[in-house]
Amino acid sequence: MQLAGTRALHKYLRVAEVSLTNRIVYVADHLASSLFLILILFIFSQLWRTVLGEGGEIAGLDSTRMLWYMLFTEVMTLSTPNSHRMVSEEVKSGDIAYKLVRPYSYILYYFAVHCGEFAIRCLTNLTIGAVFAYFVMGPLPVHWAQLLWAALSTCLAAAVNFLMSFSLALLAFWLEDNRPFFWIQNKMIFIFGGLFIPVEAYPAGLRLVSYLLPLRYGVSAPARLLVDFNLAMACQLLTGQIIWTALLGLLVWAMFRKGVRRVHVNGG
Amino acid sequence: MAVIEVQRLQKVFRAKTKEQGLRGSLKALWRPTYNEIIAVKEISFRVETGELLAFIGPNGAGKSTTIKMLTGILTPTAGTASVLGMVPWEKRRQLAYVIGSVFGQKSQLWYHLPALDSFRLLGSIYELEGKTYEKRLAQVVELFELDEFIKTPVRKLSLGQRMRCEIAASILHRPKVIFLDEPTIGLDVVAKLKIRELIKRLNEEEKTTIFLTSHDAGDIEQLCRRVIVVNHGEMILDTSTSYLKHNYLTTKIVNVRFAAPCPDLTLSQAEIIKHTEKGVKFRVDTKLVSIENVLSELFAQAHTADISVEEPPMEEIIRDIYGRPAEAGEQNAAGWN
Amino acid sequence: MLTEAKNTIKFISQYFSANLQSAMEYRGAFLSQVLFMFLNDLMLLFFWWVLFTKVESLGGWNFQHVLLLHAAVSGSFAFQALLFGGSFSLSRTIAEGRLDFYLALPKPVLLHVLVSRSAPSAWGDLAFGLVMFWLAGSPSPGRIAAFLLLTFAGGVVMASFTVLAKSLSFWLGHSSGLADQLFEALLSFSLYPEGIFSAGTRFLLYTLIPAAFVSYLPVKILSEFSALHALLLILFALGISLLARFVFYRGLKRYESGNLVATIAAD
Repeated sequence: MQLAGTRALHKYLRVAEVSLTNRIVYVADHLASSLFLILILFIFSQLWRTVLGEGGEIAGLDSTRMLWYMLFTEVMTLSTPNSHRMVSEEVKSGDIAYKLVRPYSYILYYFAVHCGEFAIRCLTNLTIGAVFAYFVMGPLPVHWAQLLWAALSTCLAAAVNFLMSFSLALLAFWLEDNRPFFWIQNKMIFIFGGLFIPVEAYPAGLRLVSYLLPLRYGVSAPARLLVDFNLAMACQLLTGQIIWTALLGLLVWAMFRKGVRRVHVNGG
Repeated sequence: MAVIEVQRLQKVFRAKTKEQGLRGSLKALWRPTYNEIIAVKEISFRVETGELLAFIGPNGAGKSTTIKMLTGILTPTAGTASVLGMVPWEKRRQLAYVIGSVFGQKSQLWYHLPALDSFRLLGSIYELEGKTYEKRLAQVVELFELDEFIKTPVRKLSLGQRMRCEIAASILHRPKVIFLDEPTIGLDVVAKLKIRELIKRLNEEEKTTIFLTSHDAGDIEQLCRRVIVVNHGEMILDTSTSYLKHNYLTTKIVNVRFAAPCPDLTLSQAEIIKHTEKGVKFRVDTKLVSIENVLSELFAQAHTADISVEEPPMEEIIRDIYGRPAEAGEQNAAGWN
Repeated sequence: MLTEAKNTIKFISQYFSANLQSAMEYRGAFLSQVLFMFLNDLMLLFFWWVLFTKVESLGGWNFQHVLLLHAAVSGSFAFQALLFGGSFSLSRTIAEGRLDFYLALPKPVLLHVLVSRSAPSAWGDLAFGLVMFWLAGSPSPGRIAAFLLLTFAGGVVMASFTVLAKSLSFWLGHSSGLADQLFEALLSFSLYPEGIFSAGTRFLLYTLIPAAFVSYLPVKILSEFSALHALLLILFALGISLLARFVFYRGLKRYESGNLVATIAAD
């Protein structure tokens, strides 16, 4: 039984590996998103310098930390893969049926694909962005323990992002056009994810809504841990991430079961 | 021992009908009406180990639907089936470990990577261990002659090469049965011959039961020993290829190009489809008439520059089978000889 | 000369109305596209709204100025997309040899390529621009006319910039990636107040990446009219469009000589 478990894990690790390798082919795409990252970082370095000057802060973060904060949230967003589009297409066209006769879980398969691609994009963007941020704003003082916490938080954030997008993609089982939902999700990440400013700095009403939604756990949790760490907040954020991963996981599982039943009845 | 057993399998699709425009959409939401499409009416057959069987019929005959039911993708509306002792739509995941499938245009291979990488991944997915996998890979590469291009990115392969890789990928885990849905579709003549040769070799050397669908008459003639013909969701013929060949695939279409213009031409034993100064196209039933006679009559009247012989399209063959109900009924129940 | 100008305007307006009509064929899709674009642009303001609850002004500009800024960018972009929509796919048009189609027709090639396409969603951008101007720009018929004129000039600047960037395809093959990044940069810089940038950057924004002419100058002119600024904007718009035209036709000569084929084959 144990052996079967490790073999199953091995299976999905391989999928992630292939997904990563496949992604390397798109080097030009990578560079494009990294260039955009640098552009945004440059503009915001100027913005925060002007707004916060020498001693100003927002949510306890000075201009240097604000810029590094933005680096991490942008890396998170830019590195998140688009496999949900493929899933939507497969569901709409009925091709998903062919994937169902393979000896793996469809959901886990796509999670592995997501992780593989995310890993390499994250690495590329983070490296390039960090070098730029270092030269423009100076270093970010971090403790190695923070890095560990942040790494863990990033993994959970990737899971949350995957589950959110996947659940929207699964709507293709029931809706002809699920694209508006992706657009809405995109905008909500913008607003409630804490992309530019930590949600703690938002005016009261907005802050409340942001706390209730899972978006910030997918975008800004790791960033928060890297620029402004305290143990209580770390535990809180990670707990939130775990809870949302579980909830969204349940949702995705239920949607999938129901949706797949339709496939088995209707074919394409 | 039967590897596939199908009893009165039936599949009816219910499709929502929708009227045009916004009003129609709202109406469909509120009070939906359905259209019933009977894809598979009532099919029964058995397949024994090591058979090489073709499931043929025109488009929309129910071939793909049947295969989808046998691989567990679709649940039937009525009837039973068992593949290798399992009910496909109930034991889908377990069945996946012992069957292989290639669905014409849907690829199992990663587009930008060499087929070798996809094979390695499939090895993991089917849980083949290190040495076992390597040995098996070598066997498969040899069997399908993939050495030359297995390290080339899939997107650079020709369709024929890709298809070889797809079928090879489907047998890595030594399945006992493989389902090939239109494996030769879109391939040129040379590639088709190659694929047929390889499939035959697979069946002979590894005793894999092969269940393929096609609407290419050449696939049947050159590849399979047994044929099940379906049309409109029903089995209309279940017989051996030799029987089919001698009784139904006897019509040939001959294309002739003249060396010198020949405006007048009579062929007493053939049906002329098209005749111009430059050439003639005619149909010959080789069961009724000796092709030698027809050709000598032709050569006596015209100088021939080029000649080619084709199979009639599947639709014509089916029409022909359909048009002879007595003989078809004879074979249906008995199985094949 | 005058008749030529009249004909040109007629030509542009014919294409414009043809594009509009074909978009309106699918009334539902058209309206939803417009609405989505409007909402999309609105979302961008969100960050500024939050920021201005913490800060009074940014380099001398307040929230109202930022609204005007966004209005100007949306307006300029709308003019480019509605009137010169063919600029966005210019790289592909060149790389895939589709210029042949235009070369065989009796109208100036560049203009023809530019006006042949129009992005219907940009009506949402235009609507957004006008609404924001209404909210922040103390509107009057005269000022609305000025707004439209200024953003038209901005649109010309954006379109010319795009043509310049995408004309690289004549020499580099399908280099849409680089051109898109440059356009992205232009757009991004236009959306942030001039005041946050250092002198060096500002110099860049008045020259190589002319964000100043897309949004900063229009905002300045609308806040406090200056004949000098207006003249500068008009001259620059004229200048860059002539430059774009020059570069494009240079590249076209290369295209016609068949050298491009070698480039495409090597790609």
